[in-house]
Amino acid sequence: MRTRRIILTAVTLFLAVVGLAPIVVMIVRSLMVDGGFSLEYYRTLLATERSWRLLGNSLELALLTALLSTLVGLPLGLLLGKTDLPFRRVFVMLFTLPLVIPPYITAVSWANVLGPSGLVAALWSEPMAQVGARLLFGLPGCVLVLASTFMPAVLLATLTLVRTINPRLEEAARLSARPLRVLSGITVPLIRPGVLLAATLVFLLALGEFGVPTFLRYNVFSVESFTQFSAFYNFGAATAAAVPLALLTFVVLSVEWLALRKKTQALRLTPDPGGTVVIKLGRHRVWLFALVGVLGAMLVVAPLLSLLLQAGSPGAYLRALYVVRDSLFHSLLLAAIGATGLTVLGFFVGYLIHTRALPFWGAVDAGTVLLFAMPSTVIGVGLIALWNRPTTNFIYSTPLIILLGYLAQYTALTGRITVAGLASVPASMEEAAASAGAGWIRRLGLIVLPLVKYALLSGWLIAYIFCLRDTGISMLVYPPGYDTLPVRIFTLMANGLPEIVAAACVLMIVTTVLPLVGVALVVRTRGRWAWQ
Amino acid sequence: MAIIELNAVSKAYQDKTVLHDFSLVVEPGQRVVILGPSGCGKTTVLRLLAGFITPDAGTISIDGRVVAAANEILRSPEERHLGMVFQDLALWPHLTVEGNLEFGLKAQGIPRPQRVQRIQEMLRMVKMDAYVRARPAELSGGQQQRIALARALLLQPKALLMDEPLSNLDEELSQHLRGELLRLYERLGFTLIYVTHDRAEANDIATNIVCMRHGRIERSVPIEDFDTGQRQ
Amino acid sequence: MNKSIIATVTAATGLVAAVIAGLLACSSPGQRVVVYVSEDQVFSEPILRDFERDTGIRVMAVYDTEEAKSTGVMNRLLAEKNNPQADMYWANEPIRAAVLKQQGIAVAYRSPNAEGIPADFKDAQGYWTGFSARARVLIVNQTVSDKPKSITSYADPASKGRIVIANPLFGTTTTEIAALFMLWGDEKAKAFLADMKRNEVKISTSNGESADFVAAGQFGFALVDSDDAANRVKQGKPVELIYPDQGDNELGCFIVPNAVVLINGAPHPEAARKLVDYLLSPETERKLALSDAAQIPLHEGVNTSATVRKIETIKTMKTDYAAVARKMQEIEPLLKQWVGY
Repeated sequence: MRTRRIILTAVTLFLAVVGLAPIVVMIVRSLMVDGGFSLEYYRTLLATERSWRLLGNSLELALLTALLSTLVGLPLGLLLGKTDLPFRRVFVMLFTLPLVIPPYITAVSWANVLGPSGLVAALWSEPMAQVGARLLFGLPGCVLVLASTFMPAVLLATLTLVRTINPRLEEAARLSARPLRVLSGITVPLIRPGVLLAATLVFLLALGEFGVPTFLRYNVFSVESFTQFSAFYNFGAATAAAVPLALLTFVVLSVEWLALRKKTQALRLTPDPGGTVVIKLGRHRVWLFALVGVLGAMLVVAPLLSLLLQAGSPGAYLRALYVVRDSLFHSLLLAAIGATGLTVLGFFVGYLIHTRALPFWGAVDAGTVLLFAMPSTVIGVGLIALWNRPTTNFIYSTPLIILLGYLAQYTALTGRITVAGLASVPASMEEAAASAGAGWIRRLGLIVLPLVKYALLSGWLIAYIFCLRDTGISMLVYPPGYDTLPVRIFTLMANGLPEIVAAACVLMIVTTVLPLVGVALVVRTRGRWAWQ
Repeated sequence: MAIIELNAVSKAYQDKTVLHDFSLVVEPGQRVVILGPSGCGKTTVLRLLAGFITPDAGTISIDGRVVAAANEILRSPEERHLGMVFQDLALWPHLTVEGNLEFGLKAQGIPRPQRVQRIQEMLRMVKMDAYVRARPAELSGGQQQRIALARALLLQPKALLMDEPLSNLDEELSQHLRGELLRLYERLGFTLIYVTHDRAEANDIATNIVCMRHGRIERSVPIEDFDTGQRQ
Repeated sequence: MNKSIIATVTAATGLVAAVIAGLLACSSPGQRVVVYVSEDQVFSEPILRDFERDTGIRVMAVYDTEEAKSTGVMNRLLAEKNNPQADMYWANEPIRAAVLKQQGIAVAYRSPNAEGIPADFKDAQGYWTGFSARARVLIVNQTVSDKPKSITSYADPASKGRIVIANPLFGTTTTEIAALFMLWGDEKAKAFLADMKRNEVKISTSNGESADFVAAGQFGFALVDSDDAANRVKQGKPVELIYPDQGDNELGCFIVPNAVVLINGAPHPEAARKLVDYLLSPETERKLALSDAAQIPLHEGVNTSATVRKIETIKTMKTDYAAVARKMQEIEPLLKQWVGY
């Protein structure tokens, strides 16, 4: 047991240094004016009417995004997870696509559709285009983009959760009630805590998002922090601006922790080998299929198509590839390494949380989730503040700093996936090995790891996607000459040819999706989905 | 007229035949126990009757109407008016005892006053009227059994299906509940199809015994003709 | 079996260590120079590649993003003050360069190529040198009958509801307004701002956006950078480019040169000086003039394209950029209020 304690404590310390130390440094900085302690920045921040207005905007945007994501994601998840709708898997992949690409690229593609020089403008009349542009550049547009980006989180949560329901519960209900009633009376109430959790996460992610609101010119609080950085060069004020968001994140997470955690765990039943109860749609199949198809076409296909149209010829892709080749290489390498590091770190973190092996497991859980929801600006500048010293130059001036940023921000993902994976492994497995005399390392390596390998694979993939799509942290800390693809596209947008920008966006999407498709094919032939 | 009739029903899962040319007739008021070792296909029979799975061949009739034929479900589960007690009871954890009992009645469109009355009666019958507001997690194993039973009987089903309901209980409790089951049978007079691997249970409960092995019927006899001392 | 776990873990650790070492050893042998760039990557990168090709010195660059969306290459410079990573900074306007001088981040260097550049566009002590400039011009929609000739047209009641300007808290607009404060004095400048407000001036997010609005006919004219206007003309949009205030007693046109700054404590000072020299050369100015950057060379006699006027033909606003930098910080609260912050 001592080995376990040492290793888990070491992992926690590592996480604290990598993740929390930068935040702490930044908070300290925000409390120092000209070398002395002062609440000046906070005073100025809270005194202005503008701050409160921005905060209101942020909350409104986050709330609407979470609401829309749930209203669409839950029914969609039920349709795709519990019925015999045709092409379910294709739809799942389709709707998940916006989650895996940097949100601002989604915004760019929507601008291609609805913007002043977009598809709608070309196909419809000038006034229509004006209406479209007015809707896009403002709150509705932000909600649209962010909801289509984060709705997959609710969708995937629903898909996963319905699989964990004991089918007998639904069958017992089927004996007296129609399928729809079973859904509303039994299925949905059972998965409700988990779905609410996902919705909360969407709320927080939308709260911290700044790329999309900036591009679509909707003033939100997270932009304030950024503006303080770029326009006014004021680090202290910038962090002070980020703190309310961090606080809000903390508060919301605490609520989630207290209210929902218990319920979700109580209902976490092992996935039944018999599989979930499938509802046959019968004559409703056709129109529901059409409905989902139209939704997919509008939400995902249209913007992507606009990118393809904007890119135009194959030549544009070749030129784009030539222009971004270095950044592409950097991205792939860093995402792969980052994902591996996150999987390892996440495994130990998840193990700690699941087994509650040490008294501070709760703090670790909360800490990783807090870091995940933290605006990337805060983490990025914290990283600079912490690591930009002569002694740590070997970190700061190399891509290692980007990796540290990934580890700080995304460990919650792999951690929670590991927890989910471990939840379906009975504790008796490890206990049996222990009573047979196996030490902790041996038990981990020979019993636990093989049993959660699919969860770990899922975790690696998801970490890979998030590292690849990361824009905020990379943009702030990338060492000279080592920019990543999303950053490169961002700078291209400033004055590059629209076709090249569009082609580069498509390249970005393909790069993200390709390994997923590959894995999906491999996993399919083995007859199992990674999340089972 | 037979209340339940399975006619040459076959079912296979992934190339493995679970049920082979299975025929069974159940008359009203009979207590048929399907006895057999694990994996012999007895649970499959129940699931076919309930309508959760489709037969590959043969027909299933309830009350003279064909409800399922080869690869076809003609009547969905909620239209078959059957009650079922599952092996793990499947009580809905997010609902109270009252909620568990009320769900089916509500779904069938029974108005509130009648619902309340029937629930009260049933709870009294199973001696659980003090636990109306309790949640399943707060009940003991035996209490949960009784609620599961109550829930299944509340809808006045054409037949009650029970899938090894007592297998998780100790002997004493099991015997006690068997007694309760029979007592309820005396009062309500339902048709019972009971699946188990336990001979003692079969002996206690059955009016007719069907012995199954490897998806086929070995013997189907009235209880009087079944030699209790016979070794398998 | 324990051994196989240990073996796997060791192998994995070894692999990871090797990869990390590889990343750390990103520094390949040979000379290198680290430059932070605020000029659009699309225009600056080709110049830097040419430098690499011509000198064999490897260029490692960090690029800025658009104005308000800027991650602040400046911020990196300021954050890294005590441990500089950059060797030099390619600013797209001299105010940032002046700020760096103020903060002690810049170091003086008089390049031989700076000789041909007019004194107006370089720091007196040599802390920064200007090159390849943009002019602040008026982009005017062709349907406008009474074409504006001065920036004071913004205050003209006839322009009401027909004017747009980029957010004066960012970029070249801030600089120009600060310059106006310097040249006109606070009173007149404040009145000008008030007049603009009365004329319902719309605030756009960038000069590019302003130019697009005018090109689309939504507004009559806007004050933008010369490259924004020149590009819309090149694209065939129904607009024209007017250099404002060119009359004898008028203000003149505000010029925004690029600026090179050598960083104090640079890791590779010699390579940095070479790059500075390269950027200040007439050849570089020629390339930038002929590219889509459409920037005005400050050396005399450099070839330009049709849309880019030569500096000697433009009446320029007399500007002390260092003073403007200080003024900018001074009027920041006022501008914030004006914008509605």
